[in-house]
Amino acid sequence: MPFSSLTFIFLFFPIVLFLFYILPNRIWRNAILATASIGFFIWSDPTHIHVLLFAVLFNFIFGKVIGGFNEKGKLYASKTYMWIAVSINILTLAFYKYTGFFFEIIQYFTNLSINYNTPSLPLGVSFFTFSGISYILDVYNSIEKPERSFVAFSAYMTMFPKLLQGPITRYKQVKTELQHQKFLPEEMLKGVRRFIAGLAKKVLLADSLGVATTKIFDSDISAIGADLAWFGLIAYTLQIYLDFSGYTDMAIGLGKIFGLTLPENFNFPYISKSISEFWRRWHMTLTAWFRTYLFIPLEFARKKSKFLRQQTNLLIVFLLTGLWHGASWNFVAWGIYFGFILAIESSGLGKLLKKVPIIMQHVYTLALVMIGWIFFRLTDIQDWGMFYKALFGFNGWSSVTTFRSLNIVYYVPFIIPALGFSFPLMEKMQNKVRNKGGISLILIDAVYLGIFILTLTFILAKGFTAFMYAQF
Amino acid sequence: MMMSTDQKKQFNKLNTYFLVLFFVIVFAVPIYWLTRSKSTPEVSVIEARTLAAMPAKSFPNLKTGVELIKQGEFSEGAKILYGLFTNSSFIQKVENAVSDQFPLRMPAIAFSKAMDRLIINFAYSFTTDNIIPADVTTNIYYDRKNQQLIFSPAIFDENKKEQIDLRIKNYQEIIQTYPDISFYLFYHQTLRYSSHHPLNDIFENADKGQALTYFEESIPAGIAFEKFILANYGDYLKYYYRTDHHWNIHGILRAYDQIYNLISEDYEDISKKLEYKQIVSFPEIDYLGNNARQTFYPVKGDLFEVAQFDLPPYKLVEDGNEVDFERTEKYLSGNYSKIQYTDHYNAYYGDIPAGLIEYTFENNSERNLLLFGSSYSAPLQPLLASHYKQTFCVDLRYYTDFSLSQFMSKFDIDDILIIGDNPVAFQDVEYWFITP
Repeated sequence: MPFSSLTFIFLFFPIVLFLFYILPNRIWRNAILATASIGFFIWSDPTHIHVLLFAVLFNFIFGKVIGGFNEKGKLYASKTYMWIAVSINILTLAFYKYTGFFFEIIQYFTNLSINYNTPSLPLGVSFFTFSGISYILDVYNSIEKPERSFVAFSAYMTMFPKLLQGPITRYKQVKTELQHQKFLPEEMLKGVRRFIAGLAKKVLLADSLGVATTKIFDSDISAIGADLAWFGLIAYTLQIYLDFSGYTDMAIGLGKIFGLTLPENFNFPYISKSISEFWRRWHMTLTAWFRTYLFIPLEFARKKSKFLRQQTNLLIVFLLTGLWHGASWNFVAWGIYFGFILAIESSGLGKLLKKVPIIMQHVYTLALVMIGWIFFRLTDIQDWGMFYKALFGFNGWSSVTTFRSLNIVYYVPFIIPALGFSFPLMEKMQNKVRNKGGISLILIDAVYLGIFILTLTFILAKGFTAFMYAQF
Repeated sequence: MMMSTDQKKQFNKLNTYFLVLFFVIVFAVPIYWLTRSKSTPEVSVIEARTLAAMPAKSFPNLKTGVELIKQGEFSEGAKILYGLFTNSSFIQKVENAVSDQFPLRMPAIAFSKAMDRLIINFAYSFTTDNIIPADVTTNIYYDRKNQQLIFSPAIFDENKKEQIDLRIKNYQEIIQTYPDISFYLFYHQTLRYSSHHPLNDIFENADKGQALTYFEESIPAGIAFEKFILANYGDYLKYYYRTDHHWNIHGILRAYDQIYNLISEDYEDISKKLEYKQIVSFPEIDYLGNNARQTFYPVKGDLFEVAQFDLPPYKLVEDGNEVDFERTEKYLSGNYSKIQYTDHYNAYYGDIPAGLIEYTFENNSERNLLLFGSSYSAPLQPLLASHYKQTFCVDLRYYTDFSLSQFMSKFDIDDILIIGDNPVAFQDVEYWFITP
């Protein structure tokens, strides 16, 4: 049940909202949130509900056990149970996501023929296992006390705004609001606007560009001209940002409507002036998770190790970041690619970059990011070389007829609003208009409502498209 | 910027209105669903289907599962209860119903299509193209000069050659198995497969008549073959509807003429060729056919015309049920649907049943005909059947368990005739392969 579906907007959402706000206290409200979220999961992926319920239950139990050992000063026992809990989370993720990839690697290196059934992937497994791990580690490190209420904890782990595609939320970020819920009309208002903006970014822009990029990347890449290749790459660069940030906007908006403040996940990453900055602006909660729970411990470890350097730690972290995105070689290569660049930037290139004109810094960053998206989009590594050749005109510069025959001409105008929403321009314009006050305020909200209705007509006409990050 | 107290009050008031409006929209829709009660299923004329209704509120499987567990059949009961979660049919029903029962659904879709057209026209305003996509979800184009909705060209590639080879083998097998039967193939070329399609230069691997050429190079011996070829783009405008993929009355009459000449070569004592009494037009009908229905394109409809013939008396049975001639008489007496986007072609000539269509004429003929065809052959069926004692018409897309050998053992057939465009005549193997 994607957020951009009619079933979600007009059936699930109003029912849950109604029940949530007519209930008298936070225990009931948390119960509704958890129950509705489990129902949301079942609606989207009924065959894997046991995985989610198991994750909620064992993380809750282990959290209490670890917290109990901490209180009694039994650090060894606490550490043991922490490792067991973290391992169970990782094994859950590994089993569902990497079994097939693992056997593929074995077959490749050993030439053995192994018969295996790849288990189907539970929706959101990458997100809720990471939520579980962060909770366990925060309890172990005494950053958090273990949650006593199973209902509140279930609400945290399963809350539907973030369940399937994040943002990856630490327990401390929502704890206060789960324990002391308040109705804040200003936050609800911001939430509604945020939800509408996200819905429009996803349905009107990302899905439309997605049709064009699918046509281009699924066609015979060895035959496309440079113009088509560049259009495809630019469209994909915008599509992936608008799709994921649009989803995040909806998630954060829904969170606010239900009185929860979910962390931001994007901060206009395409205005970055270095890859380091890019990763501080792109999928920020994932970067924060890896920084907190992997990079920083590795940095501590390298003080005692002569083999580890900051650069090797960056490579390790980004190899795993790539692998987190998908169990295939192109994602591994994508992760290693950024790991290398970050290692080089941290070795002095970053300082050199700051001396270069700002426009060059932007060009450098965008170019590298876009090259990275090629690895991300084209899962068959053999296609990469062909696509680069197409980009640089080896198949000719013009595919005017192909623009027509693939019916892509229609999507060209979408680039302009997509660019507008991918950079801070629209936000600045909105703030400027809002500050004028008076009739401007009415106009802005009229525009929001108009966009909401326009988006609904598109959903009705076109159905809905699964979110790109749903595969994770 | 700091706001004054009045500005803050105004700001808060406006914010409240915005929130209220948003939630009115969100809650109005489910309240609309709860308060309306529709006992009879609704039909969408434009989509030619019954709209999905909200699934029934009872859960028989839940009751069955619980009963089984109470009786101690834990395994069976658990299986049924688990199936409630994993069987997504209920979920799919709800989602279909949510979409189909959405208030103001068709106006919303029409509006969305209008927005699509706006963007298409804007995007193509930078080109000199006269033929532009009619929308973004179909492969239908709009010829601005002739105000015609046409499909994009079909593709001809190695895969198509393989399919044609399989169909040729299929024909050879049938001819060898039934050497006493006269085998006729009538091919009518549609624009998609023609060398005169105005978009052929844009589409790589466009058919341009190549599939027909490939077929003719290896056409099996024993097939009497006749073709209705488009001499130019103007031919298509003359013989086919502007808003529908079917042929109009002029195309139908030309086809009948050609088929009659084809079968009369072997059928020596065939009855005289039928001449139409008059062509009846329905000026009240602004016929918006399939292409207009799919795209909601604001195009002027076609003139709907039919030809009146004097046919000998006959009996018509469709899928085992005798049909009276009400539908054609209704039209001729002015009693037809005035709803926009009504599919008048199928309404007049007959919807395709899933089984057999049988004509039995009171004439002097001793011959029986087996006719394979799609909706294109519907207007021709009674005309051709009038020259035979019995005529059996089969649309293999819907009569999926048809077996020629079983059929031939049951009925006495003298002639087999296939009427169709590329897929029907020699290209498609998924639906039009005749099971021996």
